[in-house]
Amino acid sequence: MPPAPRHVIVRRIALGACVAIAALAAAFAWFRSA
Amino acid sequence: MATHSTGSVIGMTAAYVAACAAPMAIALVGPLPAGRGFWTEFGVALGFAGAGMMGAQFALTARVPALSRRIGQDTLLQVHRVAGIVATVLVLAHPAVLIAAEAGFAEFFDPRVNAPRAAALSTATLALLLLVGLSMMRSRLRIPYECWRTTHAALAALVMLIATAHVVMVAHYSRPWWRGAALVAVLGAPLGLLGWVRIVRPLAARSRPYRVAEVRRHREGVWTVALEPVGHESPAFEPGQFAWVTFGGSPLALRQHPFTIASSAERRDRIEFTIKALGDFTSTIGSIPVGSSAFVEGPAGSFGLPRGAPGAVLIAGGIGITPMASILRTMHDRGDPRPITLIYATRTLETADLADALGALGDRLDLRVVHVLEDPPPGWEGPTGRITRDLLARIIAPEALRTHSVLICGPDPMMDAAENAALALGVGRGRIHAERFSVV
Repeated sequence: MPPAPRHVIVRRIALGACVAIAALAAAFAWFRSA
Repeated sequence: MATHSTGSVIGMTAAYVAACAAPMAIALVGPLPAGRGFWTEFGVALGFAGAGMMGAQFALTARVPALSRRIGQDTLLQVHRVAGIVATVLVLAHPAVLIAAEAGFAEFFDPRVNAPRAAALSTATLALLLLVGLSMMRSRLRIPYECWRTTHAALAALVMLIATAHVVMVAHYSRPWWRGAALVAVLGAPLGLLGWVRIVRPLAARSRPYRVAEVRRHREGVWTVALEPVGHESPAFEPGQFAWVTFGGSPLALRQHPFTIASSAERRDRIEFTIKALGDFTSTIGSIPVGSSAFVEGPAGSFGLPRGAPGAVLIAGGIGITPMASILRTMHDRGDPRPITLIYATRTLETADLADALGALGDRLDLRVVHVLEDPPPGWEGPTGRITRDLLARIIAPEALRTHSVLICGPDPMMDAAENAALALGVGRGRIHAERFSVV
């Protein structure tokens, strides 16, 4: 498979960052409800 | 153009995530209110996370020169687009999860309980949907750029204002007072940034006016506008960069457009933009009077030929020739001896704007121009059709494929094709430079 173009990689990284932020929200809730 | 090591990409991504998570982090500092169930707290956290992401959206588009040069304006816009959609999902999930966890939270939208609050939260929800919807549909709805841009900023400011007030008035995590103040500072900062970008910076541009020195027609709908600084020297720029230009008497005018600089970076007494009419304000470029005022904000962007590159292949499609024109003219003025292959894809030879002017630079440049025509005239023996792997393999020398930088600018489908073709030919991603602006 050829390597992905740069803008596709940028989108993937941005999505990864969004997933990390949602995970932090879950961690917040876990911490506050524990 | 900006190319980054894995370490610096991880660092920048971590900084972005930390900025978005700042409201959540502040809510956890100091004495905490009694904890509630997981889903209630998750609903609250989604609100904080969504608000933090919305705040970061303002920074991504604030045209901070250092960010734009280091990361690239197109990369910032790509992140802005993805993050805008995700932030909207998180913000909308905030009340949905809360109400699913405890039905009593539905009273926030009940005008019988608190009419101003219900009105504000309903307004913010609708404004947010409109904000994202208009951006995704702009080209399909043919909303003029300047109209969309003003609406986008106004809706974003409204949503952010209501979100900040909401955090303070719910008062669960905004007590004691200093925690509330910190949340207001973090969530209110984006509004200050918006004021700085849209009001303070344009006003500062008043002290650096430009005069329209020439409006030159190339063919139907394609113009070159030359600007001369009045009483100041225009800022230094790198060939390939762009600037936001406002034509008319006031730098606060809504008609501010990003245009790529087409002239040489060695000519700071006169900067030129070659512009294609796209149906909005750009259609009126030809009627701009010579002698009228203009204001320039910039330069910005990270597209260009790296100083260390031994040579370059420039692939331009249509009006994507403009950054290449600036690169070639600058190299010409500097006596830069590096070999350049310009692959210029257009429909016909007649629509290959600037081709004659750039061809004439060959006297002092190691320049080879290859036209690729979609609709060739009878007897044409040069390459035709779309940019493909085979076509590039025929044009570009193997040595250039191994070492030269490949710069691509043009319409999105052409850029996709050219970038994929270069990658398939083994050009490393670090040597491929492309800047995309068609985000909305």
